[in-house]
Amino acid sequence: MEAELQLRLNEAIQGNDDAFCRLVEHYQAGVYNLCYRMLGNRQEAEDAAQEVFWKAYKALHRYDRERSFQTWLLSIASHYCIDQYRKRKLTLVSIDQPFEETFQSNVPTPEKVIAQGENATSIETLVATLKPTDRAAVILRYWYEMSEKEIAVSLQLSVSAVKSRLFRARKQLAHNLEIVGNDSRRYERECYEPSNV
Amino acid sequence: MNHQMYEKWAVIPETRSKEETESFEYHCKECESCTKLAANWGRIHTMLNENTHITTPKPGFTARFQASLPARKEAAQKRQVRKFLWILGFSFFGGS
Repeated sequence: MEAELQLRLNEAIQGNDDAFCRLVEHYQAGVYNLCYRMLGNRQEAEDAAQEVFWKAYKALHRYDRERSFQTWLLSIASHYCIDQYRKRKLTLVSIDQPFEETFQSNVPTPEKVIAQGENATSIETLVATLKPTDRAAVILRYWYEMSEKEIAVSLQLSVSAVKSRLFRARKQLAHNLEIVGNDSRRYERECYEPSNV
Repeated sequence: MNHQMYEKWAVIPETRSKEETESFEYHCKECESCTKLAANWGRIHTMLNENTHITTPKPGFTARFQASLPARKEAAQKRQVRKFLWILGFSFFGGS
């Protein structure tokens, strides 16, 4: 399988579109999943994943064969999704609305997560509360089982920066779970107290 | 000891040595926030290990990519020509 993929990769680098499409077929799930985890929406993930493969297609002559092709693709996908997330926020900023207010309204906070009801404590929703680069680091670490060094290469960060981002992200996830847990229990108590039924 | 070190040990328990684990457990007897942090991280860690399934795209992803290639290539080529003409024009008019 690995030899077959290597062959397709060589053919694709030489300009064979069919060979590149075979690579798309093989790596689509990994790239799509990363886009979905980063953007949280299936249609946006589809568009982003298509764009990532187009970017890879255009940059294929720059691909360093010493690197894993999957890691290279995931690196393009991470950067693309981080950019998309930032652009999404910028386009939603209205001149009539204070920046802080607009910025805050688009970030999934633990309070918003609680409001989402039964999925409140799902890991996907909690991961969505992280900053884009921290989120990418967590996704690459836990969904793709990348080492800190591989994450550093993918996100173009130093290993110590990855370590510090992962520490911050883990702390925030634990903290947000605490908020969600407490507020969910309070919410349940208020809903099911005899006076409210 | 620095409290941040205990917080680090709470969410990165795999890096703790035996002595550090003992020191952390001793600290937790008096520190409610580190106890909660460690417990919550434990739950998050379990959730991460149980829920990291790969979400796949709708069938036909590669076909959709393949179908979009000619249009993407044409658009890229047009952009390239516009860029070339712009540089040519700029160097011609800019130089005169």
